[in-house]
Amino acid sequence: MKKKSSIIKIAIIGVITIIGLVLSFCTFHIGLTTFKSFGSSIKLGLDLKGGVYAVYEANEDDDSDMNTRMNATRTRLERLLTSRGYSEATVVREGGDRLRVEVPDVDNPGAIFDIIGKPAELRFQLSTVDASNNVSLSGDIILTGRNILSASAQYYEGKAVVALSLNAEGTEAFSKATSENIGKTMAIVSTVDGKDQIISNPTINVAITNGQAIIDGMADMEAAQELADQITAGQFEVKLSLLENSTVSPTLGEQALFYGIIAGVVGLLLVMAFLIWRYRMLGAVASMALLLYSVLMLFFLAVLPWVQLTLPGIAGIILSIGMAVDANVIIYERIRDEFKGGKSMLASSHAGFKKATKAIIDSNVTTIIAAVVLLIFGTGSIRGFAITLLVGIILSLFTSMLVTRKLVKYFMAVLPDKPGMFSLKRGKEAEQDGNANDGNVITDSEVTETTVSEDKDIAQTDVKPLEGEAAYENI
Amino acid sequence: MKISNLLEKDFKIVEKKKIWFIIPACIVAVAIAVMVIFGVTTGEPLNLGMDFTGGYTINVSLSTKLTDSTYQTYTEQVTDIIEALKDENGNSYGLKVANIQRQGSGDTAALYVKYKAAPDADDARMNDEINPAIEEALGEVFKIIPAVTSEGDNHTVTYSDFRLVDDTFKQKSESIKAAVSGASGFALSDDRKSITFTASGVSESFVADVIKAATIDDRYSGQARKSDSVSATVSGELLTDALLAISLAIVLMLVYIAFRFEVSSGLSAIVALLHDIIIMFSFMAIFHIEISSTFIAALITILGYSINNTIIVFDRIRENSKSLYYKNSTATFIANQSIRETLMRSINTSITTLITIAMVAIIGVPSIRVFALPIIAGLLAGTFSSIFISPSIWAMWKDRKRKLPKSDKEKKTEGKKAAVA
Repeated sequence: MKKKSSIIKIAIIGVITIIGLVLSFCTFHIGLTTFKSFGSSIKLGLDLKGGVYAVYEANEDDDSDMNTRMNATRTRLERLLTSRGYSEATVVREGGDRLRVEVPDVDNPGAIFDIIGKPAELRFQLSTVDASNNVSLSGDIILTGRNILSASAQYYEGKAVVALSLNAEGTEAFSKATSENIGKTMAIVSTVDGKDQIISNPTINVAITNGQAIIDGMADMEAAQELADQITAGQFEVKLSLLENSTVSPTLGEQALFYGIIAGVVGLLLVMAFLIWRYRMLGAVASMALLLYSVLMLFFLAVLPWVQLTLPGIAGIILSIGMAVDANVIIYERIRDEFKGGKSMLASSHAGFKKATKAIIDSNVTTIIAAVVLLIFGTGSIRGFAITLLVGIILSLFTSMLVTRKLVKYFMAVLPDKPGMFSLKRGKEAEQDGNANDGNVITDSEVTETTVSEDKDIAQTDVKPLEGEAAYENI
Repeated sequence: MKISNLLEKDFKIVEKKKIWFIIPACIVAVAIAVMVIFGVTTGEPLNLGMDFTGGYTINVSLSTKLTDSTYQTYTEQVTDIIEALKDENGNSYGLKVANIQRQGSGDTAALYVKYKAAPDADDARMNDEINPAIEEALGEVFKIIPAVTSEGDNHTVTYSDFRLVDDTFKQKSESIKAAVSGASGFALSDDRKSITFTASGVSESFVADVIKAATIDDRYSGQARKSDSVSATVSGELLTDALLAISLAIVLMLVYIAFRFEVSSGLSAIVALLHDIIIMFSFMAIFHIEISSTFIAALITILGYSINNTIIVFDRIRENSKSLYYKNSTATFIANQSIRETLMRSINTSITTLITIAMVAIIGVPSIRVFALPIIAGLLAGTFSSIFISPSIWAMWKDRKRKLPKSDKEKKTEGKKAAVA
């Protein structure tokens, strides 16, 4: 009975793993809907898949501090990309007056403008509104984009507003203009590709002398955010014009991903072969758990929205696979030690898991600490590493502590009298007793099974009965 | 099995600690020597990649000629030309192509080539001498030489596998007009591969003149850009951020280990970690392997791996220290025993992780290999340090602490005795 139900449970886990593997690598077309495989849904970084690039040129009449301003623009672009979720994007300077932006995982060159906006020129200018609500610009330019330190949407006295923060030069000009023109309107004009567009036309209510202005009258927070975005988009320390814009191939070369996947698959198969050679049935259990781990990993990489896989990310996966295998090895070596000492198979397995738990938890928690720190404080590719490592470790803990534990139990229930198949051997001292007890091994495990059959976690129930059982074995 | 036999033996690892400390010291010494040699001869103690140093780029516009099937050939050709470039005295500039990407498609398809500055050249020399030389050498090779056919006064210039964009057509028409007096009626064929024009009473050198005028210097066939400097992808700011994050991670790990184990375990683990990182750097220095931004990823991978390895050994030490069986044993004895008990696990885990990363090194492309090699070095260093170095340091620390109070007491009692006397 026990044997049968264990075989069924093993089969269920096996089938789940196989279905997972199929879903990971095969894309299905059912009717008009397409179910993309997990593997192909993973977003890939510039280094593995390429993306799009744009080269901007600064055309600036005033070339004082050009170097500093170019660097400031570069930093601002980098921040903008990060805030839009493209932390793996790169911005480099080319020559003295060009910036090259590369954005991963988009294949339409125009998409880059949805992300960073077209280079725009912004100006604040006094305006007049006629009877039919047409806005016409009049008077001097009060501010330009360079004077604006930040624009953000926020709530002010219960209303959605855009808060502007100006630099020293801007504060002075704004203070003068607002105190002289109370009651008049001031247009915020954005020029993209030579075309003027009035994005807002607020009325000046009070003189603003401290450089902190608030624009209200927005319908909701969304509208406020949109205006704030429009004010910030394309605003840089230098005037930029687009020089070229197209797709770009992966930095690591076009073959990197393909051969990387092959290497991963071959590596995984070899590791499984090694584990099976070394630990027989236990190795088979580990291999099954490893496959399940890989499926889960691919699934989470595909569904977690902020994951973008790059080479450092793959490093994180390799490390977490290493730790997943390590957890299994630690457990199995413990089980072997216990069995060598004379315990029955099931008793050894329970004791092995219990003793290995502390080590596995400690090593994984330490790594989780590192991953979380790198995730919070790291930038760019370091974050990518931290994310995959974190996901990997949690999955590795799940597979090694839960799935492997159950599978070992089931496999031992199926093959209760064949310790050799689990590469378990008696030690010299235990061997003499073991020989006398050989016939008892079956009954031993059956005895243990009755205590375990409640399917309770043995680690939580007391281990004492097992020790008692082991003691009985030695009598 | 041989390994099991070894395990049965009562081996003494901590006692031989001098050997374990000398081995890495030797490796570091060799690395320093190699760095000095490279520093003196080439001015580059470490082979820093373009991600860190910045360098130069050139756009090689190949237009429609650049396809999936020709990409590889062109990449190799461009790399060979740049790296083999010699100055007027026949000495190689020693340029290194860092990477080549494909960008654009159709008429704008181009190779985006990044290369590092020549070892002993400053910006001025790169801009005035070497970059123009590269442009010229590449231009020579990628020239597209057309064929000229004539039927009476109608002449056709055919580019066999190259489609002309409007700008190029205009440009070439102008240069043919300038080279052949009286040439007119320029037209571009529907397939954009040939230019037709009429000219009467042509001279003897007509064909040669037209070919010369119509030859496309490939760099200028599309949107051409001269070679130019490019900044490092990994900016100083980025690197400082990374180092700060890593340092903070190390400190917090130390706190956790000190909390779960002992302060001495935490410090020994950190020593092992630093050892592994230093060995990785030494490895990169000795073999002069390029250090690119992927090296940072390799470093943090080993950081995690090394800590994991060390904790497993210290977990056994913690367990054995509590055991009544070892109540009166020295730390050295406990450390040896714990190493022995975890040795099988250390070896098996290292083998499995090595298998994975070795496959990446063997099967992967060069850019992946420079990532895998330092990890392999770090893995070996990590296995070494978790077996030989951190337990030894822990045992040294512990046994010294055990002995010190005793000898203090002895001194005191001796002093008292002397006083009584």
